[in-house]
Amino acid sequence: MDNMKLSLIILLTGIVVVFAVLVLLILIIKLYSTAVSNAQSSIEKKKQQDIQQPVKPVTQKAEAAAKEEPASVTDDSIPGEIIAAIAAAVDTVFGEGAVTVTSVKKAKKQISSGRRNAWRSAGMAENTRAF
Amino acid sequence: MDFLNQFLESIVGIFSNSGFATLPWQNYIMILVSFVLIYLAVKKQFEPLVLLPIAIGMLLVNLYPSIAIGGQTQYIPVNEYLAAHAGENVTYARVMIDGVEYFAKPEQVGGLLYYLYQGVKHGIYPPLIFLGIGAMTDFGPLISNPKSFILGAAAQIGIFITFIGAILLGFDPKEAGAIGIIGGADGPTAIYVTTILASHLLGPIAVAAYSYMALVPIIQPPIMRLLTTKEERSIRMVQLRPVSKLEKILFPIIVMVIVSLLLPDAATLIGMLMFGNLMRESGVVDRISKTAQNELMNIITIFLGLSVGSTATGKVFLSPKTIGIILLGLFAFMMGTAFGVLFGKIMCKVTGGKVNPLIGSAGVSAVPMAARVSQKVGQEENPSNFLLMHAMGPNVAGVVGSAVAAGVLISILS
Repeated sequence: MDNMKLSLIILLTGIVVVFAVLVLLILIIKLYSTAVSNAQSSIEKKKQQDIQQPVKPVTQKAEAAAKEEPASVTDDSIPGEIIAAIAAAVDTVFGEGAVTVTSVKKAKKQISSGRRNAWRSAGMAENTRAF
Repeated sequence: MDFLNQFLESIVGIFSNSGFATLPWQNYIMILVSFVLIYLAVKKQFEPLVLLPIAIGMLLVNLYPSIAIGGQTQYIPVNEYLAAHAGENVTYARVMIDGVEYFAKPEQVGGLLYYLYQGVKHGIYPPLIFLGIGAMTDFGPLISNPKSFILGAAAQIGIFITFIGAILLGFDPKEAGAIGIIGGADGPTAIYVTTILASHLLGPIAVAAYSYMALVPIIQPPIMRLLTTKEERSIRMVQLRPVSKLEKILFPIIVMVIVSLLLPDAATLIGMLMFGNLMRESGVVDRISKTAQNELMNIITIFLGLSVGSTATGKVFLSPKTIGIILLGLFAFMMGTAFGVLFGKIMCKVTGGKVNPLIGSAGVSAVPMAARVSQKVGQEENPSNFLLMHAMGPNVAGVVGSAVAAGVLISILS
């Protein structure tokens, strides 16, 4: 009889506590999700405003440059797809139409630090970083 | 002639010490059981990563029982020992028993599986497995649709109903709690709870829990089909919203704090689960996150499997209790699935048909197998329906839910 009483207590307590804890988590997640998305959207807006203002003169200059020297826009050895990808990445970072890519050139020297190129340096940093 | 006698005596001595002469018949049956488990792991690939080490642990302990027996220590009163060994530099540890000081002199070293088992006995392995699971789990679908927690909670009802069933079958409350947790379909949680509440049942409960987890694709679909209509199974759910990195980083911290404060007995499991997840989501400790997901998880899985298998000796395993545990475990699993689907149906009605009840069955943990089953059963009705990501929400909620349920059982019964 005692065990049956304990069983009912366990059944009720278990169901109530598990549901209560998980429902509380639902409420908390909803609250912080809303707070985070609001905060992030206001930060994004501010960032976009900050970026758009100083970039405008660059656009004008770039457009002017593009009009003046249309022939020197690209290096012939760079495929069109790569130029499209670079232009899309620039658009994504600075905002659509904010700046114009007027020239894409291959770097003559490899970007390096000391005697290692960038990939080697990254690998070195990954393997020697302290815990 | 003397030489021949000595030769025969040594042959007889070796035979009388061999397993053929010393092992009881129960061990031979357990050896056959371990062969069946090896077959299921290797040929059928039923949870092989866990089932194979369990089977080998079971095989070894029944072939050579001393492999799971601890070392022996002789306790000698300090005065007596020093009197008999005057001038000797003694390095044995000193212990006080009833006001008398003794030297603890090691007589025999224990077996390998005895030492590995200490990680289970002291509750070390299951939380470490949870660390790895946390590092491998993407809680994004759950954060995106937090209502999934309801399904994760509903699927735990089977644990508490099975508790009553176990009491009715004559198990004591602690044993009943350990048996009920099989319904959580979470191996490490089942082992953790059993170690605390009824460590003598660890072998049968662990084998039952992992076997049923492996059998999820066979056990769940008939229950899912029985409790849902064709229209409900065909419901397509809207795409989940993307979750920001900040939300994913905050989630483990918040869950760890809230659950540990509300239910301290669940803090170890939830704490490790969420720590693993924070390592993953923060992105700043890639190296240790990868270690937790791979090397650490693999090592602990081997230790855990061997240790659990080593508890399944013939004397313990071949008892009527084991049959009861196997049957109750299956009942717990089926109840968990059924309640998950039933709550899925309720959510379907409440949301005006926006929730496919099939995702409710994934609330029983068994990540990611249970979510895959929801996807598979849903696609049988509508091949263009993709429920997998929606089912992952209740699935990972089930992991949190089963840890909370474990905390409740430990807090009331221990």
